[in-house]
Amino acid sequence: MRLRGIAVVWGVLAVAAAAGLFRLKYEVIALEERLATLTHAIEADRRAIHVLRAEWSYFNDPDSLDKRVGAKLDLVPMDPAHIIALDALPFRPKPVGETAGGPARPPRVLNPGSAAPIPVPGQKPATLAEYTVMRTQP
Amino acid sequence: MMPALLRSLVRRSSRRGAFLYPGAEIRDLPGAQGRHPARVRVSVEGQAKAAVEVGRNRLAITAGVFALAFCVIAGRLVDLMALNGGEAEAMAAAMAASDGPVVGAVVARSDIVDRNGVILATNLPTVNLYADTRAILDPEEAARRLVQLFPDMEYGETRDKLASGGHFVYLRRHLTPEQQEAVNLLGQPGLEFEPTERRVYPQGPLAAHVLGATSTDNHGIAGIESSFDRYLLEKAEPLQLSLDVRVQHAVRDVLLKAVDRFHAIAGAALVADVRTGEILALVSLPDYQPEAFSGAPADSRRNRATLGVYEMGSTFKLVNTALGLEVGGYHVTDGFDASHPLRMAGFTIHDDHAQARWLSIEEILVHSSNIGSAKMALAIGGDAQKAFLDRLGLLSPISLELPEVGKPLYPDPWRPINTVTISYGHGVAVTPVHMVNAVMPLVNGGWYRPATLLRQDPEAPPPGHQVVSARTSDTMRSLMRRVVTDGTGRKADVAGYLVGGKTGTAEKNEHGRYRHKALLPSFVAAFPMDDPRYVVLAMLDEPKGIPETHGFAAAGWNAAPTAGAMIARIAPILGVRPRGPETPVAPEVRFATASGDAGRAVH
Repeated sequence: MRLRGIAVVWGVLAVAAAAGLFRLKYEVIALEERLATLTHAIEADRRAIHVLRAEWSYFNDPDSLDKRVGAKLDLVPMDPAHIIALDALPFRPKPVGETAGGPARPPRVLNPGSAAPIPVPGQKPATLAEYTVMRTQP
Repeated sequence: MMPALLRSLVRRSSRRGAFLYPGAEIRDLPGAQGRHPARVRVSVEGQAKAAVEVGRNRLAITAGVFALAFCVIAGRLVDLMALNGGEAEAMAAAMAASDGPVVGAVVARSDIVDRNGVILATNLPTVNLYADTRAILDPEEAARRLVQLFPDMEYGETRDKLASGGHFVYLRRHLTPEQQEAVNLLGQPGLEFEPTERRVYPQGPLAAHVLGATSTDNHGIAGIESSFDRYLLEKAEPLQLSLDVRVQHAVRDVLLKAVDRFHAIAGAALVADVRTGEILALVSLPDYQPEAFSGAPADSRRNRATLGVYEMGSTFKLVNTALGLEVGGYHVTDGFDASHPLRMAGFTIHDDHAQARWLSIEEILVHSSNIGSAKMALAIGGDAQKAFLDRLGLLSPISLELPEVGKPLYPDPWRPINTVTISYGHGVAVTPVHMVNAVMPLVNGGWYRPATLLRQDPEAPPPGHQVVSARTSDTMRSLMRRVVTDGTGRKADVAGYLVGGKTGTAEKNEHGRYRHKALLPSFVAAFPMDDPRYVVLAMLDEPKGIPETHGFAAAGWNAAPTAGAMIARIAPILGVRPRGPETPVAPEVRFATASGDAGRAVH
């Protein structure tokens, strides 16, 4: 009986292994086909990219670009005068009528408090008492 | 019991006894001890025993052989089923060895690209049309239709080819995809295509003299294509050159216009990086379409920048001045008497821009005095002069990656009259690349690096060797700047780029005689002179005087403005920031930047 049991187990194992191998075999074949298809597609794409890169280079030939830009656009080759350092840019010009000596600037707020620095109608002007504690900025 | 068995055996063989079923004889005789199983002990002796042993051994061996065979079969089955009989392993090994099937080269010859990766040369897949004439039904009809498609093919020749009976007769090379489809649409049997590749140069003649050309079977026959033939055929990755197509185009464009404007027969121009020795632009005019190399005239195929050797004229005074400062130990304020022409060995040396007085070394260079240069060279001596020229690489072939490199011509023996003429650039013939390579150490702190056409790692510039001191280099910079601000090179100045340089107008030497009307003006420049980055050389071959130059054809009138125009075009491309106040700077800006980086804004 024991012998027969072992034989059955081996038999089942053998059939299972055969079935597994069979399945594996066909799975591998399918995967290989897929790999070949993909590789082929990638190769075709790479060839196309190669040709397109050459075409891109051909259409970006500086000589023909130069001619086309000259004919169709208002662009000129860059000149040294077109380049300036940021800190060499002049400040914004002063508004007309402003004098150098006494600009009509609002007074600086030296004592931030409840009083408005500029007397506005309806607002309480700053009192002298508040100015006594103010510290002058250097 | 045993005797009973033996007896029964004997009995069975000797006489007929009672019928016994097979095996019954080894049982107890009926009635002896009921029907108990027999207790048999077989004990064979002698010959019989040996026979049984042999039988058992044979059985065991046979079983072993069978077991082995089945194991082999099982192993082979697994191998075949799961591993494809070693094919899979071979495939895996091949994949592991290469970087996979999709990494290899697409085409048989790899690309050549510029320093920014722009394709300069590449292979495109095309097809060749050939005929298997045995399959052609009607050669005349096929020839007629092919000639309709390709009008440049000749009918008679095509028909003869188609009727020749060969099974592989080339009809036409490198069909475009449209042409291939058109041939397919003819529906003629026997017209076949052979896949092949064709070298194309998308930029046309732009870098023709650097790239060279390839033959129809994709082998390099000139330029980089020839010197890197094996690299291009074996490596998958592109070959990266030091050229920059933008700079190359700007330089070629300016040079083309200059050649046209000054009615020159040819021209050459170079731009090189003084820190690495990389050549950013190399133009030789006239040039050619690289695809049509074999049909181009020899004059176009000649690379004037690397192969042609020329007496460079006064640009050599840069070398001579450096010789005086470095070897002679002179100071720029030292000078020589240039008040009278110098007579030597039957020659009289004049000055073109004669000042007729004592000149300092600075003035000798700025006014391009032949007499002063000659006297300085004589004072230093011919041997030291020769050694210094050799140190600057001017006497040996240039180590450029091109097959077309010219060999310098210099006198042997080196007589005093040669020392005199060489001091102002006659008597030694070098290529323009030599000149650029010799000027580089004069402005970059003294470091000589061989000129190269291959891109170098910007982080690790190639090691150079010091040929002149940093002090000499500093002095040469300010002298070259003086030539442009106050001397013969004024027309080369570009506001903001602190151009420095030297003009040179050589008379062409043909068959040992100098032709006064055939000039070879050149200008070698470096910029920006406070921190030189690039050396530029412009050379024109036999330009004519034109009304704008008041009929002059000297370098100051044509080569210098050409070099200036090149610098104005390429400096913004190369990212060199212009110096100096290009626009009037308001006082408050100066005030505002005084605390910060004022030097940058108001230099």
